[in-house]
Amino acid sequence: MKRRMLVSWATVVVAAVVAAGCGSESPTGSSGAGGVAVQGVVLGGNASVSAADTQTSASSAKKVTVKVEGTSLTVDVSASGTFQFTGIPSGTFTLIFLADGVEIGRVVVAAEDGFEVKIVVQVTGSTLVLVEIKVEDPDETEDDDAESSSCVVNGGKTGAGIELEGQVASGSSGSFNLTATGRSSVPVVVDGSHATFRCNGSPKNTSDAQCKASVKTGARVHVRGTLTSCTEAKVTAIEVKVQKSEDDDDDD
Amino acid sequence: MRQALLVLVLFVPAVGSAGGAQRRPPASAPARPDVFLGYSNTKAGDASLHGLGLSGSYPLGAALSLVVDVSGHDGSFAGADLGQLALLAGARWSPSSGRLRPFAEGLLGGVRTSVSVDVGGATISDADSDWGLALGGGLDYGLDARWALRALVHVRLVHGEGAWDTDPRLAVGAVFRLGR
Repeated sequence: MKRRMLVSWATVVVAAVVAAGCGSESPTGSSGAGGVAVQGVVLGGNASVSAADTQTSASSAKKVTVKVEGTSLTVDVSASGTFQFTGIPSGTFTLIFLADGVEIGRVVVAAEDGFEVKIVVQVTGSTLVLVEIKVEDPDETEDDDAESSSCVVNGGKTGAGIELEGQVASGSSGSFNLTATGRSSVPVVVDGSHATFRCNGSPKNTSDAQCKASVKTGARVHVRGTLTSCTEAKVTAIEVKVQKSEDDDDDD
Repeated sequence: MRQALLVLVLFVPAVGSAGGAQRRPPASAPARPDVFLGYSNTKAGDASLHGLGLSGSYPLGAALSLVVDVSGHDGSFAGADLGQLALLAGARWSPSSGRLRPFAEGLLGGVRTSVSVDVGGATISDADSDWGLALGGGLDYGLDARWALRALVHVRLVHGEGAWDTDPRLAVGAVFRLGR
């Protein structure tokens, strides 16, 4: 009788463990071996900067889902804010973030086969803020110096933060080519679609739209962001500062 | 899945020897309050976290006990630091009082998950408190009248951010039995 009880108990425990092992993994977060892996964290709207967070968010928070555009890959962000994809086809792909099924933002990522992308975003209301993105090549993490010297952008490293200053060769605020003299022999492709724009030296009442519109051929800009590709000189910008232009000087 | 295999390795031989233990007269002992402290591992969504587990139980009857369980875990995921503190309370059912004591328990309480990430010299942090439910069981192996070794497994259900997480938790450590 006692033995039967023990066996029943063990069966329940084993079943629970097997169920837990399968628990949080989304069946649609993987398209098989190889490709690009993405690990992400979504911060809530209560996130605070450089301070202990004393707030709590109620469980009324929206359910966040992440999709890879053009594929069937979809995962729900967990209760702890994490999500993960494996087997994303290499190249440039777009992560689409949805809150309760409504799109709140996109992040364009360029990564080669076998690379790992680590991304942190914040969802505030119905907007998405890109906090950090790193694109890492697991095979080259121990040889940072070699990577830096072979990078098209001098001193750059794939997945690392970078600051560049130069002149806009073509394009507009969403995406533009930057001539970063002394840092890159080829134009740097800057994705500014998720960046904050600041107009340095312009009147304080310059609107966001006006500031973005000033990003045009010939404008001098300071870009802060992440180098997403060393070989193709691609940068995802977090902040773009438009320098005071010569036209503004004339106006003064 | 590796964790599930670990538990199988831990528990299957134990259950096997539990059957053997019946052939020998078990060192039967009445239910007593106990305190557990040990290593604990859990998952928070996709992140694997390590930490400590502390729990205490107080017998309500021959096989039923009141349990309070506190656990703290931390780890990193996607370049962010994650921490999780759980305070759960509930009931434990333990049908045996011999050297080998299997038990099953159900606990309910709160789970606080915090996430922080350093970006450009600034730290961005976020924390949520969510409801949590833990179901599971374990096995105590008595070393003497006071001390025992314990392995336990929980399936934790945590609700937050509009989603339900089903996370496994494993813990191993020492139990100290109080009273006479």
